[in-house]
Amino acid sequence: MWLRGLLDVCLMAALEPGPLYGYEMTKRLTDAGLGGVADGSIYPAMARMERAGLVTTYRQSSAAGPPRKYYRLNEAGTALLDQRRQQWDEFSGAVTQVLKRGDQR
Amino acid sequence: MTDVVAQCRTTWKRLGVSARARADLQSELTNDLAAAAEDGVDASTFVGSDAAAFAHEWALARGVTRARWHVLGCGVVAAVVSLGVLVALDLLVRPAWLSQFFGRQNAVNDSWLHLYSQAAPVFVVPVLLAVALFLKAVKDPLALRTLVVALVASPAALWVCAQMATRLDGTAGTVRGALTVALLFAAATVVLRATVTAVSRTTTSVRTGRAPAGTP
Repeated sequence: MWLRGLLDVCLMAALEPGPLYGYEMTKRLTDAGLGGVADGSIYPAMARMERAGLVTTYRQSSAAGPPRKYYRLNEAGTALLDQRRQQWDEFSGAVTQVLKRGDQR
Repeated sequence: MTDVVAQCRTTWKRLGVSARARADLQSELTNDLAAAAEDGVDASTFVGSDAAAFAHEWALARGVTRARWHVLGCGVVAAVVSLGVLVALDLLVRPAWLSQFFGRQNAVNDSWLHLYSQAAPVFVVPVLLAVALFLKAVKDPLALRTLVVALVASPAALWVCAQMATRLDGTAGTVRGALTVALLFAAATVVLRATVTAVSRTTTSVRTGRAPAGTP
């Protein structure tokens, strides 16, 4: 449930180090503990980001089978990711304060 | 994996996704499913329990659905609602302008601005509202754009339809004239919707510098 609103920014963060294809992104997020992406939800999310001009795609030959489609975060995506990071820091800090138990405040 | 891919292909076909776009989607999906399978992740786990819903959402997000029946559906909805409105007006209200609007002798010579300024709000609004609700119900990606274009173009389209109906109709019968106008306006709605689709594809091509996904 939580991931639904944050999937796009998590995918952008996963792409920040370098281009990935679909399953690699799913695996990276799952390995990080975000298991809720195992329902193909990254594909519509990546499609929306591509149409929004935040990522670019290209095909690259793979060792076995036809060329794979890779996604790469572009400048616009990087700028948005930085913005979202800042917003998340502010938001998560505020939520943490609110959720603290009375004796921890 | 084969079953999941087959379900996705069937869904994309139903949505009017072009063969090229289907091949593109299938290629990406098949490659990733193969990679997942190497890690012991089966296809239905990877795309979720409802492959058809996954395929639908993905194609919508990619903007490659064409759903030709949405265009025809607009025409059918427009025809039914416009005919209903016109017949209801004739049976229940019988405003003077209605018989003038469809009457053979008067509609051509009377001030068209006066006539359709009265008819347009009563006739056009229910029809466009019905078309908008239909497009929203089928989750058409161009619903808003279609409605905006139709709102702008409908008064003129209605006037043109009335002129054509007046010339085509051999009698001054209100119901027959209403049927003719309803069918012509439905055809105009279909043309408007098809135009919105074509323009959307062209602007996508110009903006991205490449053919929009789904173009043969």
